[in-house]
Amino acid sequence: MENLNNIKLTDLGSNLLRVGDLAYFEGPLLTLFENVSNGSLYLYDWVDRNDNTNRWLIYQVDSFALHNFITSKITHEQLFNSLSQKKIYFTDIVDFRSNHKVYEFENLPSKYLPTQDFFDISDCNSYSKIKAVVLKSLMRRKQENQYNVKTTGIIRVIKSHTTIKNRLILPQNFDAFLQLKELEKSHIATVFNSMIPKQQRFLSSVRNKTNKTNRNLLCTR
Amino acid sequence: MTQKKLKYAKHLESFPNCPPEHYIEVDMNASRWVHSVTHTNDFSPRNIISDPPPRMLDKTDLLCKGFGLSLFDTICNAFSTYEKQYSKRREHLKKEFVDEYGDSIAELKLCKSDGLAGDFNDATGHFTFHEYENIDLASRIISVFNIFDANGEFKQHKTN
Repeated sequence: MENLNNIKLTDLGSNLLRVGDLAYFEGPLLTLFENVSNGSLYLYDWVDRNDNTNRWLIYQVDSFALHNFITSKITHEQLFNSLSQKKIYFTDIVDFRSNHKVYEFENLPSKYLPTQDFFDISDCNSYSKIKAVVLKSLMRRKQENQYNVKTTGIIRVIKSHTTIKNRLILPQNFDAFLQLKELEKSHIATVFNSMIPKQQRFLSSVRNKTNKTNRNLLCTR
Repeated sequence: MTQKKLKYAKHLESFPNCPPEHYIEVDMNASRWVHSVTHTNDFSPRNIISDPPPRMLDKTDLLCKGFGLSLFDTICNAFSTYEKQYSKRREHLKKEFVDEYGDSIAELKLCKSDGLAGDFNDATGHFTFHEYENIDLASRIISVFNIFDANGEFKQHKTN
């Protein structure tokens, strides 16, 4: 079994919950885990063994890429190469009955790199459950992206106002904006209506201008 | 289910409905991966083998079927699954695969008095076999076929 460099114990293993095996043959070969603290997905990838130990690489995978893998659009190698977080961990299991320790390390041996095989559903013993978790992760990511884009848009609108007129946005209005989870024009209107008349007149004059920057001040995303 | 005692009954008691009630006695030819030179693991269930160490992440990988033997309904199916699983392994694990599972396929004559068979996979021809006590399947071997040719390549096998 390969000697790995600069290993460092982590607490990653304590947060990971097993979902199911993407590949199983007389034991798990490629297994999906979910981080219970943040929903991120990890794969345990069996890569080595000696007389008394089995070794798995552990790496975080993007839900979109993983979905492409389980729908056979990309190979295992392509999935691995798509890793956004390049940190790779490993665990050496001697006694499966005990909690296993997870370590960081450096310099992945080339022989541990995945093959160019596609996902084979006949090797997967819990496809429905795995697909459900992957789809859930995709939906959560989509919602977070929408919220982040909209929230960013709101904050940009607010900040641009304050740079033009420092007293334009009252503190209570700014906080009200930030508490909004969904950005709708009606919400903008609600806040607009709560502004003092002087602020309303300013925003109305800005809206009527054709300048692109000014138009952006009041746009929703 | 039969009253005959299973070889690994003591281990099977740890699992509910093990082996499952749908397992039956069979009278058929079957195939199993073996070593060309007789090896202690050839007719040992996965959960009994300690070398190589069982590939298990946690206790949920300790299954009832791990105390049974993996058999195939035909020589061809045994070859096909071997070739498929071998080819998927990383290069350095291919040798491990041969060391663990062998380099040959044995054809056996199973009798109803040998044990219980079940979980037949129509696609692969694989099934699990739980032996009765005092059964020695090595004595049921009819013939043995090499998986690899002299060049280390997979041998062509007839479709049957």
